[in-house]
Amino acid sequence: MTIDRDTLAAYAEGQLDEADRARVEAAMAADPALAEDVARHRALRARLQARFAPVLDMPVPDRLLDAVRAPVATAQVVDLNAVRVARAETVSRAAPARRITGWITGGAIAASLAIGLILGGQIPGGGPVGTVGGRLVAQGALDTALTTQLASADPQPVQILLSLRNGEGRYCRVFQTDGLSGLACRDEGRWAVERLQNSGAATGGQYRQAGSAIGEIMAAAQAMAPDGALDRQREQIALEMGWR
Amino acid sequence: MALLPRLRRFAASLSRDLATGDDLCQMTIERALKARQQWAEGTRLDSWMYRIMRNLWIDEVRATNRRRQTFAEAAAGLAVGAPGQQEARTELAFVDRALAQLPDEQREAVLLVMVEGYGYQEAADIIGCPVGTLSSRFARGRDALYSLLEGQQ
Repeated sequence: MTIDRDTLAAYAEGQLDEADRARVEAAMAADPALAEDVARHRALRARLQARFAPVLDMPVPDRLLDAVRAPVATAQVVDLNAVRVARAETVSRAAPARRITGWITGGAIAASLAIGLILGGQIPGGGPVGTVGGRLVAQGALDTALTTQLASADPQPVQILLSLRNGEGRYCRVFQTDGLSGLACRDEGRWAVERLQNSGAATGGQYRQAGSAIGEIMAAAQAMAPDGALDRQREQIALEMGWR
Repeated sequence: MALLPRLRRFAASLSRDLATGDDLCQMTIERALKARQQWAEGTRLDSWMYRIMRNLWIDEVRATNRRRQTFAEAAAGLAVGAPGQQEARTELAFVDRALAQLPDEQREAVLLVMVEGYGYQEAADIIGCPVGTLSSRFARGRDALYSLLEGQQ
């Protein structure tokens, strides 16, 4: 049985149907050289991805952000600082009830942040979220950002909107990236993605604001954090301690 | 806006230079906004924008008579993330040189599938070729990269 190069490459990319996949696997069992090729394929893919990954983590130049923003200039653009300020105020205030109200307001402001171009739905292969043991976990640039970035008002490829500690004492963070927003909690050295939603979708050629997705996630975050969002200092300490 | 980092990556990998890539990115955004009525709702916006970018890049290359950058420029332009680290730079230069030696059609197939993570069908749609064509370009590009990169080690 011979397996041609095209089929082998397609196998390594997971592009074959069931029958062809079984055929390749049978051939691999008989011929170690084929299995070796698949290993080479994966090594090459990792190498190419590593080559271009830094571009994802670099700040996007203003001129590109401006190019996207220009046509939605009439939409409400709210600085994420507003979220931070709202958060700082509410945390420093006393009554828990008020704190929560204030926080939700912050979430609503973030929700109305004009996202400009919103992309369609799927989780791309090699994207920010993968699966380990049947659980969704952050990977790549998202994993790095969740581990190393503080919540920030500056536009970044992965933006951390806020951090909190849930009832079990685990750290969780609300993030936004690549058309997705979500909530990830630290679990056994990984960021388990507890919630994941599209940041929004363009409808009828128009761009609608990034409304409900972030609002829902903020509400979920609120529901799971008895002490509200972490302030900058607590967040910094948690980061330095490795989110344990 | 959330798509921008990925668009930049694809632009940088196509043009082999971050600054040229950002020019390409800007042109792509402007073109996409002008043509947004043509985007079919329910299809992936990212694929649609990649297709615009890829076509713009080809037009640009044609317009400038297949202007080629030197290897040195390509290596310097994209040497990001590891300033001063000789080993990393060398690795970047290896990969850049190897990619630069692929025919355009193989390079774009490899970039879309291996770096951008598209399936064959989506990558073929972006390029505008049949899946079978994409699949064989990809396999040839992959095999060429094997020998180019492993020959350098």
